[in-house]
Amino acid sequence: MTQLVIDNLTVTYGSGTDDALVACAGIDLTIDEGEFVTIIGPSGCGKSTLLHCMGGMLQPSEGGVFFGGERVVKPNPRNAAFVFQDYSLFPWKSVGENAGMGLRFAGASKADAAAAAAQQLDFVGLGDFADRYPRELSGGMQQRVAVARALALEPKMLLMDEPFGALDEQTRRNLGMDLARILAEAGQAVVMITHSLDEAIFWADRIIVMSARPGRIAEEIRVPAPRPRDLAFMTTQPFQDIRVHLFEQLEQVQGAVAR
Amino acid sequence: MTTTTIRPGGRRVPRSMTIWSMRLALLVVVLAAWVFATTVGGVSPLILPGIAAVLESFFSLVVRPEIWTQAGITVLEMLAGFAIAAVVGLAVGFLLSRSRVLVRAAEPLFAWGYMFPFALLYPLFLLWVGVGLESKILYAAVGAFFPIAYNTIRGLRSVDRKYLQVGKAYGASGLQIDLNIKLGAARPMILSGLRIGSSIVTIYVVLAELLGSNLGLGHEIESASSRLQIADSYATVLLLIVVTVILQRIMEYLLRSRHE
Repeated sequence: MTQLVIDNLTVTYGSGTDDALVACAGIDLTIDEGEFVTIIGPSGCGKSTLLHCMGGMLQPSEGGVFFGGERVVKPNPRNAAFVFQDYSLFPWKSVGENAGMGLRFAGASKADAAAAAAQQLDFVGLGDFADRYPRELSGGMQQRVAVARALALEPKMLLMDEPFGALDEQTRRNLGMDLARILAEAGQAVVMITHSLDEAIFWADRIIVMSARPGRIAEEIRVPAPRPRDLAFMTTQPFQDIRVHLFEQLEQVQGAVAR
Repeated sequence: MTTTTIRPGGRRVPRSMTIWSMRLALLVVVLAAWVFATTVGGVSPLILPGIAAVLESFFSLVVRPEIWTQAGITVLEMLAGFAIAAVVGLAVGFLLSRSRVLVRAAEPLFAWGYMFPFALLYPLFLLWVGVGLESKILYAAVGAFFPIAYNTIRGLRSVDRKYLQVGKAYGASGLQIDLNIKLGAARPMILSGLRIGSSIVTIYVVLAELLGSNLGLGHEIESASSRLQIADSYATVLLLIVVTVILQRIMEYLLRSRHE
């Protein structure tokens, strides 16, 4: 069933001035329940802007975002919860408190937040780390905590802005495999921005390719394989075919920027 | 306890032992110079009494209950001055940081107050508040107020946007943003302001007692010197150093920043 509808969305920064910048233009997109969608595109193509609009962090200049039929006017983390690129854990709070922080902000009591946090930390494999502090954790572990913080709200959708951008290749792959399993179990819809072709294909039910400035949807690609997938999927022919196609697509939209 | 580290050259260096023996060596050098000055050097005992005389004086000093009353007064002045500076400094810093205009107006003033040699104004404090405890407390509080307020403002104004973004994304209320995000992010800076304030308080109280008072260890030093009981004067300085260092250490421990 359709969960999120983006209708003719346009975002203009500094509109009415000489250096008005159109970040996204005329974007139509729907996300189904439980669907995993990756967004890929050149830098500055408005991917983050689009994601922020989906989560109500930003109001579109034209068009609208509708979650379950309701117009999104402000963030509602129980509908769509964010996982940011730089983890954004609070270094002054313990891992357990960090994992419960989203719930606390959303109005839950301290006890409820702590209980949900403990459960989610177990779920992402960090049950023993609740009393540690973020700086004692590796980047990959910190990002798991950020995922736990989002999952603790039992959101209907996760919005992930390059969640692995700051990690090294090996950690990325391991965390990716783990999270793929975790998110498949959790059953949320996920929208994830990525710069990596492999990630974009490996995770997704559907890949959205965006063109640069103003950001438009250049293509949607379905990945015809059930999730969660194991690493061997990357060596299959369908994966390789999509990869080659994506590569060419990105070259093309990137080239458009260069010219 | 000795920690050993291996240098690139492969030589084992017992680090803390080296450092401690160097510190000890420095102490030995100072004491040796002292002994030399008072014996062979022939420095007058009115300027520098012998170590033995100072120690004797020190040990007879610390068994007198009156001296502990005076020490208690000095400590009380320091704690009261710090408490006032902390409460007012934090409150003013917090309130000012909420308005961009006020911050821009106030920040240079606080930075300047931070640097200003308040010793110049002590005679005015004596004039306004009198020679009693209150003038020391107020004087120390004014001196410590500036670094505390300044660091509070700086800390609260320089909260990383990514933390505020989390608050927004998860629907945090204004109060939650203040308590859970801004205060947490600013804490190291605020604590550093409080540490600076606590050390300023000890300096200002002693200074104020020396410059004009009828109570406290500073006053004892001053009166022993004026009676030419130089060994007593040195012994009281020694006691004051011990008391102040202990107090500062306790403050530093309580105000250390964790987890960052």
